[in-house]
Amino acid sequence: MQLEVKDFSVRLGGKEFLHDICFSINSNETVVINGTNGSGKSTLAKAICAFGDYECNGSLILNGRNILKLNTEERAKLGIFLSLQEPIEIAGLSYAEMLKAALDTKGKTNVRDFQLALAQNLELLKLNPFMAQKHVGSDLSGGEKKKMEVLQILMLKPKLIFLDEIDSGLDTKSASLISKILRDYQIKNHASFIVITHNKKILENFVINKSYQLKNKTLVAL
Amino acid sequence: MPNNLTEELVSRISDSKNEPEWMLQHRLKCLKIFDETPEPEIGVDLSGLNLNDIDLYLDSEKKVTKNWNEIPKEIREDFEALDIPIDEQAWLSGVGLQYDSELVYENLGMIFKNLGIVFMSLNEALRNEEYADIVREYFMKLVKPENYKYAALHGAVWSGGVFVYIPKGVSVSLPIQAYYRFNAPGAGQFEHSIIIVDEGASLEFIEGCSAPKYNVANLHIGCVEFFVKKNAHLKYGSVVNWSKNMYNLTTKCLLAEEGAKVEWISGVFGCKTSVLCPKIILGGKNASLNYNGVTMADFSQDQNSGVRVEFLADNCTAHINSKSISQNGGKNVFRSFIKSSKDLLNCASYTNCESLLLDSESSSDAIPNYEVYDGIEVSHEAKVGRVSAQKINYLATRGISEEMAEKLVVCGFIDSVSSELPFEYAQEMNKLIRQKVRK
Repeated sequence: MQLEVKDFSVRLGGKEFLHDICFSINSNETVVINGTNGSGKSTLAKAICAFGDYECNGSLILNGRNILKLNTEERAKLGIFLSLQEPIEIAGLSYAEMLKAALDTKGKTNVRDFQLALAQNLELLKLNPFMAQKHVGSDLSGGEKKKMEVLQILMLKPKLIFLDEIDSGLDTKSASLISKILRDYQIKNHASFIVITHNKKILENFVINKSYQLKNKTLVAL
Repeated sequence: MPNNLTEELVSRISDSKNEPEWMLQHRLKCLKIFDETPEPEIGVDLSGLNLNDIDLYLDSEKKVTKNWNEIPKEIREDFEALDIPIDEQAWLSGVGLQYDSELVYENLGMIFKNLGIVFMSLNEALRNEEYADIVREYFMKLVKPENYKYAALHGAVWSGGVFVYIPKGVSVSLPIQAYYRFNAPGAGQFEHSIIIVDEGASLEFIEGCSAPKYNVANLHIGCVEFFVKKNAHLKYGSVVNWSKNMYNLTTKCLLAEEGAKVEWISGVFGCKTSVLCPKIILGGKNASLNYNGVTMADFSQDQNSGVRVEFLADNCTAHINSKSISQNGGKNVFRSFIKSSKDLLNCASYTNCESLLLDSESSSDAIPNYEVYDGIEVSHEAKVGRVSAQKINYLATRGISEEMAEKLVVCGFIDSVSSELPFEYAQEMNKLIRQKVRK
């Protein structure tokens, strides 16, 4: 999968948040974006994934096609995934139900295969088998919420993944575990990662292809 | 008085069931009360209901059977199409099925029979030597015809319903179920059930109701009376999916004695107009109620739900959790009535109402009423909102369509209610929600 972002700008409520954003990423690559608090890192990730009511201009060329006019669902179905810095809470909806509904959009899911994959991935993440029955974003520690974001990646198998501070709330051991799991996933699925982080621990297993800093509302290559 | 509601009809109903004389006299007394009682103010529009157009009793050729294969084919097909959870295994607990005015099927596992558990049609119990006196002792003692015009109508023409008795100390490990199905346009259904959970006993009793849609009005005035004795436990669940031509004016009342624990789960998804406000009497010290209800109001539907709790003894508590969903101009009203006696100690009543409006045309009201004295702590919280756009957007980032996302969020909204039901009924409730949201 290849994404080329050209002259991309983001506004909300008449206020400019980002301008002249340009970068590209190919299959198997990892791009790191850092910046000070409030510099717009999360906004960039959300805007590219169409999460939120941003007004965007410029080009988002995904495998040769400009997806700027596509909505959130359409971009997700093309294989783009957003792991939020602050996962959303949805009372009464379990992770298992959500994942099954997401997989069902691609075709009727075999229940047995689904449950097996769920169990295996929970074990890989060193999570209790009943975690999939927890309600989305509810009654979980910060670290557990982040691990459940990783579970979603493993189950939904996206190709282009935005990780917005996936390591926040994770202890050192868990950060290393997640780093290894995601790197293995990348190699096996030829996935691309755009990683927003202040913490190098999560990157210890990755090969970093490009690094940028968000400064003055635009990206600066490092 | 409607033209078709006559002493002759009432006598014919009683005669067809070979009822004892006292029941015939009771019916006639109710008929008189109905005639003499003015139309009550119940806060709903009943102008579309003309009792002259309602068949108040459908003579039935159907006898009560304990063999699934003996039930008429068209009736079995109706229930099978509804995925009624029937299992013919000997160990499964009782299931009763009511079709229009009559109970057609019941079955009770042998194990439960050996425990002395009784589950039979109320008509049969009335004629049974062993239970006739018990029925007379309890029949319409909580729901009194003098108190409500439509209870009087029910008392005059009631037909069908179940009698359930759980002996002292017996704990029923599986739910006992009754399912009511309307299949005649313009008909009325007036089933009466008496549920007795004796001292120290435990019961889970589930009811389901459904009807196809007709172009004329149907009327349902059922009545259920529960007697939960000292230290007994009752879990009662009801999932109602009447069609949109149905007027539902059912009355339910429960008396909880000392130490009794009551869990009440209610789901109402159908009806043109529904008034469903059960009364729970916490009559003995340390009695408790945990009420969870969900009501959905769609286009042209007027759903009035609620609960009345009467505190008569010390150390009683009531937790009331109500969820409502309104869409396409539907109207939901939840009324709570909390009443306490004087000089009580250490009682508490907590009510939480949450409403979800799926569009700006729909409405939802929560109306608390209190008639209390010192000795009871009361609270009422109400919240109204729309489905969060952020949640829909988040689910979209997982590739889930807006339509499906809304259904998932709404199912999640009622999860605290549906999760209290047995698995099959929770699944049915979720299935109903998914079918009805934004239809």
